[in-house]
Amino acid sequence: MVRVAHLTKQVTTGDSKLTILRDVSFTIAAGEAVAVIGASGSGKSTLLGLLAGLDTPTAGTVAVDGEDLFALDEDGRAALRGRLLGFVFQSFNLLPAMTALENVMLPLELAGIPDAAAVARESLTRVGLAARLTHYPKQLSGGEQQRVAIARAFVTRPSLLLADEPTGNLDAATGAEIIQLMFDLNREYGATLILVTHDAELSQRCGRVLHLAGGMLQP
Amino acid sequence: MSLGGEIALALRLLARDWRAGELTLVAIAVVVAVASVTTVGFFADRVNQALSRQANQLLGADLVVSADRPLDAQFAAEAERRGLRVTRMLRFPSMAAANEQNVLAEIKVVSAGYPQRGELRIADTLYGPDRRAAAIPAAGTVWVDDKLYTRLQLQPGDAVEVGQSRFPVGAIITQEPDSAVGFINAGPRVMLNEADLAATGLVQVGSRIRYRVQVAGAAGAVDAYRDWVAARLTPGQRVESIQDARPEIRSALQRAEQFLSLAALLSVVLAAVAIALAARRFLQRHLDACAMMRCHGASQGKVVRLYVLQFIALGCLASLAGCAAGLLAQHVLALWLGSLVTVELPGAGPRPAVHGFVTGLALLLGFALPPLLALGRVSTLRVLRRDIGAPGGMGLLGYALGATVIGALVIWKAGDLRLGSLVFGGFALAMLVAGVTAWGVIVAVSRLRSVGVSWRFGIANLRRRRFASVLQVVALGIGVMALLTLTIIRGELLQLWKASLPPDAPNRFIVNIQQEQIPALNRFFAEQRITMPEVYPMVRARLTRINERPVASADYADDRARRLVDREFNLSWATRLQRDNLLVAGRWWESSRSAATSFRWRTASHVRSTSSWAMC
Ligand SMILES: Nc1ncnc2c1ncn2[C@@H]1O[C@H](COP(=O)(O)OP(=O)(O)O)[C@@H](O)[C@H]1O
Ligand SMILES: [Mg+2]
Repeated sequence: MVRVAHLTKQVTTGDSKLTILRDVSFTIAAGEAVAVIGASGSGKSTLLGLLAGLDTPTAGTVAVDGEDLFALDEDGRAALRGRLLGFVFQSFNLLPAMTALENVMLPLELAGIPDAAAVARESLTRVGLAARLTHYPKQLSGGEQQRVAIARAFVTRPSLLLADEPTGNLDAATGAEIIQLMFDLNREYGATLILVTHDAELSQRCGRVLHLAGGMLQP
Repeated sequence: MSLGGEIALALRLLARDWRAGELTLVAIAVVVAVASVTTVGFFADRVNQALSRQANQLLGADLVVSADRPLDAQFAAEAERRGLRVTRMLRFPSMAAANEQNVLAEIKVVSAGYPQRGELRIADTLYGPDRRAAAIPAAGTVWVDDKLYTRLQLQPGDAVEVGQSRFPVGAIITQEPDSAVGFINAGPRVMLNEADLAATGLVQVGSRIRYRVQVAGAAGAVDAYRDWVAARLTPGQRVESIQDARPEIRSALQRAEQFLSLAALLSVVLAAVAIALAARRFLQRHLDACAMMRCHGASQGKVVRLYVLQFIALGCLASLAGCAAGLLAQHVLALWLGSLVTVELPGAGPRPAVHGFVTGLALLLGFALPPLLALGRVSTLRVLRRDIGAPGGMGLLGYALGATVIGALVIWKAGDLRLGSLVFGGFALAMLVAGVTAWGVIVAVSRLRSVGVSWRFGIANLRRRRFASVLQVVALGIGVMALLTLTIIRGELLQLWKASLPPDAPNRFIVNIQQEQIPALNRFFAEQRITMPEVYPMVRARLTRINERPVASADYADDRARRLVDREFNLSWATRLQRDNLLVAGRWWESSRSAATSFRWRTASHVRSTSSWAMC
């Protein structure tokens, strides 16, 4: 599902060059659940951004579902994201001007899927928020917001779900619920999951763990 | 996704942003700008229409060529060749007789199709109900007005003698266009079909006949014809069209319209500033939405299209609302200024609404388009790293489009490149000065190091948001400048207006007061607590001799002089020179030592006389 080869990312800040990722290579099979762990600043988010084609690497390649991401242009990568990928973020990234339902509808609407409202309602019901459809993000708790985000991530039936510290802004109990929900849905839909976290315990639930330190993959 | 699908989605996004209050400021700015432009536009349009209608009514046509000799056939032929409608008319004074009585009447000979503008109304019985005349008097009959009807003591079925013929009276005229404007000339009238003119035997050498060719049609064709005629006029021929009518009201209206347009324009400039600021805010607040959309697979182009469509829809709706508000507001304006404009105002035409609509849309897109285009370039990485800000690179250049739009609007509204450029240049200069000053102050303030913590914090904040701060100062400066300009211009205009009329210029004239009516008039003014205005005597007279030499029109080569000699004058007399009368030659009499007269300068210069005139 995902094939990463010699991925390197350097950024220039002022007059110094900073290497965030150094020669990272790995392969993830379809249906796998993989945790990416590492200290803060070790390059986890940067790696995730590259896997999603949100950013471009300095060197190396990423292939998702057999397609070389960086052989595509910006719009080509966007189209691929729309087709294959789902996202869950640390800070939820819900749009404040839209209700829970509308936030979940947005990916469907952008894809031009008819009946977006019905599909989105179903997805929100699945995450236990059937009663909060018309609530705005700021009227929801952190846990509820992340549930909306999960509903939004799964509503397009992605084959690859990327999650960047989804429990980072939640208390332990809520975080555990969210993780449970994500794993449940992942099993239901048979998606591949790449979960970025610095929680060692959480990583144990995944089939495989990739350990990043100083931008390099630890054996 | 089809364009239709994108439009539908853009409308849904618009509804969501609207509900969340993201667009309220932008919408209000557009509504205000469009409303102020259309208010002025609608009002001016109504008054202009009213004036044109009135003027057409006065002329009975769009254009009239007149002469005191038969007009060359080429005038009518050319007008017909240009697709204009043509009618002929001639008028002259003559005696009308019936029941052994004679009355000096004005005979008006008309051709089929008269009147082309305005309304001719007739009644079957004296003071009976009237109706719009469907045609001109049938050949062999005449129509007369109520004055002639009563003076000749006519009865239904009576006939009137004009020249060598007798005509049964077909109807009584209650209203006709092109009646002489002066109240004194509105004598009894007889209207005759042109087929009957020869039978009267009144057209002879020496007859005082005014010939008119009346023309009506499309405005452009009439204007072109006017130019054609103007180049071919010989002495004694005249061309009149609606532009010549009511110049005093027209110039007042023009001034008012100029002032109001300028005021509207200033509100447009203010709205532009508001839109620019609001669009910046919109950009800042939609970075996440754009990044998310790109995450969900939307291409750059699609994101931009969705937002541009959203703003076009917003612009259309806000402009429509602005037009509606303008339509309401012009009613208020019409009530306010109603005392200035005594004519009945017709309904407003659609053109001001179109102008307002275009203004609103151009304004919104001019200022919102650059930030919206920038939205497409939002880094998708923003979903992971919140610190990635708005795409840069537009800067001041982003406002170039807006500035161009404003410049074009100003020049369009000023209707004059020089004036428009001046206004626009003034604003640009003011913006530059405000911007540079604000920038300088921020730089200078950030140099102050050794001050308290809160100060340092504030200054750091200011410096970080330098561009936004400068923008705010400029916006405030423009607002103040707009208000100041308006205040000054308003004062100047009113001053100008007042200066063009003496403060004690009369509003009304009362004429034809008989000697025995003066006490009653005095009582009326006393009751109304108005000081009795001076009453001036007036008699009509004809010029008979200059320096004991008899005067005859044949002695003068100049047509105007001839007409003046033939004409009756209105004479008045006084012992004191009026304050607003200017003595251009000679001197005022000191005592009643001898009789003397004064003349309107133009009259005297035509008849060329400098000494005493005799009148009878
Ligand atoms: N565009 C960039 N410019 C400068 N520094 C960056 C950029 N992207 C990431 N970094 C730095 O690279 C390091 C890794 O960042 P990140 O991938 O977010 O780490 P993690 O998610 O593991 O905490 C951090 O020190 C971060 O500040
Ligand atoms: Mg991170």
